[in-house]
Amino acid sequence: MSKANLLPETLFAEVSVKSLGGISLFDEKELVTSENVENFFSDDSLIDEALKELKNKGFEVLQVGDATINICAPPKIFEEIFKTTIEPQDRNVIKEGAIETTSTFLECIDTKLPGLISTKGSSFENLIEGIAINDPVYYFQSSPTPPQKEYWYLGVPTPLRDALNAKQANDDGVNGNNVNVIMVDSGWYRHPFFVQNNYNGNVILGPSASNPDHDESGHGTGESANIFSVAPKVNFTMVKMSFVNSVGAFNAAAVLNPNIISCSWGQSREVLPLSASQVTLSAAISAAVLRGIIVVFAAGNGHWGYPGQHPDVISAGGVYMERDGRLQASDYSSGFKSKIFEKRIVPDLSGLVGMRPSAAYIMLPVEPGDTMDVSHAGGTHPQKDETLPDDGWAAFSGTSAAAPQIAGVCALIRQVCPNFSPKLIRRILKNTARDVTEGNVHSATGGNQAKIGYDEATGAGLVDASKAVRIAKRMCRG
Amino acid sequence: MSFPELISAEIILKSKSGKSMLAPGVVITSKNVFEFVPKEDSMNKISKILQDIGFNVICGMNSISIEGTKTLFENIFKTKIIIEKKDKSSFEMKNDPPMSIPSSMKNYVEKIFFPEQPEYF
Repeated sequence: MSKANLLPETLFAEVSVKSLGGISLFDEKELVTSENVENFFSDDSLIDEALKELKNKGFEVLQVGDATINICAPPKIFEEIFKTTIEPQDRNVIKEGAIETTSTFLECIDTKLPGLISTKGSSFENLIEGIAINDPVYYFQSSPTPPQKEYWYLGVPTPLRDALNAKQANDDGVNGNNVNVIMVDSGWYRHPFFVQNNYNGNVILGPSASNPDHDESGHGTGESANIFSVAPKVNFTMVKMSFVNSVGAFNAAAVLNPNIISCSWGQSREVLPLSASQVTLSAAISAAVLRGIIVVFAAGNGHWGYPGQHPDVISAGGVYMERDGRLQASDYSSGFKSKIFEKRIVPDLSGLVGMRPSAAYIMLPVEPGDTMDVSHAGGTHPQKDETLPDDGWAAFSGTSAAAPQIAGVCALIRQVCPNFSPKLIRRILKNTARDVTEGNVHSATGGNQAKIGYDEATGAGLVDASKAVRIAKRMCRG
Repeated sequence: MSFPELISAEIILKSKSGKSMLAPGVVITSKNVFEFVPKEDSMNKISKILQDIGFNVICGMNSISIEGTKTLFENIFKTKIIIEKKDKSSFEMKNDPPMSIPSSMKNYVEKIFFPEQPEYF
């Protein structure tokens, strides 16, 4: 195989626009620390010019950081624009567990600094001081496809899409196109899974959050795959929440006026009184819904989920699908009659969620080595997910997964019926759900049993994406 | 993960109707949220004061989320804040004494607090 064939389809790199301090970020004598990093920031007008030129030349701009711009493009574009040759080189490395092995790095043949692309002689010479090719770990350690396991689980995107009956809608062109969905969660790591499937997204920092390129937890990255499996073309934004101020993070999402906000978190609150932050979050949610924003919250995993029981949200519970397609209420999920809001049954309807003890049920992409990757790794299913702690994949679910699945179906409906209110969309989802009549939800919320019709276990049952879209289309046409 | 450079709190404004969101038994939904809308212009006025002091602000309908350094919080709201690492990716903030609302904002602000931390479901 030729060296060119060993290059990845897409090359990710960091662009350093000419630094304010006059010294290049890639000057070998200059070590970058918190004391001098500001010298390597760039003038706003130069950054704007660089962004414009990079886009004109065919580069995709992924993120604009304080000191660098994250871009990607096929290697051929880098080679043509910067008049260079990029080659794979195997070097000795030490990996997890002190294993001595080799890894493939991408190198530019005409620069001394490893991984540096020079702009000399290119049209960017006076604008950009250099380009650093991203660490190869990104491509080779974390696979875009999940590891295969013997136990029963749902993969993304196809098995999950099919289990939620979204295929027909997607095949008919209903895929969430032009619908703005915001998830408020732990962050979004641009995993190769998203790149390979052409799922696009961006990250906005909520109050006190930092590191927009990383998801230290992995929760948000993983749960976002639930949305994309159902609605692959949504305009996706992650508001990275620091957990210092969830109200502020929700408000940061609401001010962007999206079509849908999906939240896979909350607290357990069985009875009044509500805390000041719960009251404030209630007000923020109600104000958002009044403005036409659909707000989906997870009902909880044995929690008396709040705001999952708030009457303005679409409350997402859990249904477990067996290998043979049989459905039952997930005993990992909450289901109850609210003692805070009169006549409020939780959930409204359900997404797909695993069973106790760990709900290790949907194989989701995460940032390699993050909390989810490590904490679920190894062991034996169902306690653990039998994956590696640094492979960028983990099996988990909970109503955290159900909320974005339902948010994805909301996006499909919004695409075909943009003017439908949140309440009407909730009614359509409930009226078209697949009734679930077997199983009990989590014992901590009473262990309610699924019955024929609407119940306090799975609500209206499992969301049915294509049926919901079909009925919505019919209603749109009047 | 290092400690956050900026911390954040929530400010509830006094309502135009005189009703308090924090009164015992109050539950807010889309049916009554307008009863707690702040006095006209108070949202703009308070957010401008906070921005002039150095806070980043996000305005909701009934509350303002503010973000600033620990020192700024301590100086403006006359408190001491302790930030503790909860796990790999989250923090917990404690303050003592309770945050005191500056006189320039007292007519408009009902309460300032650090929201409780939720958990992932």
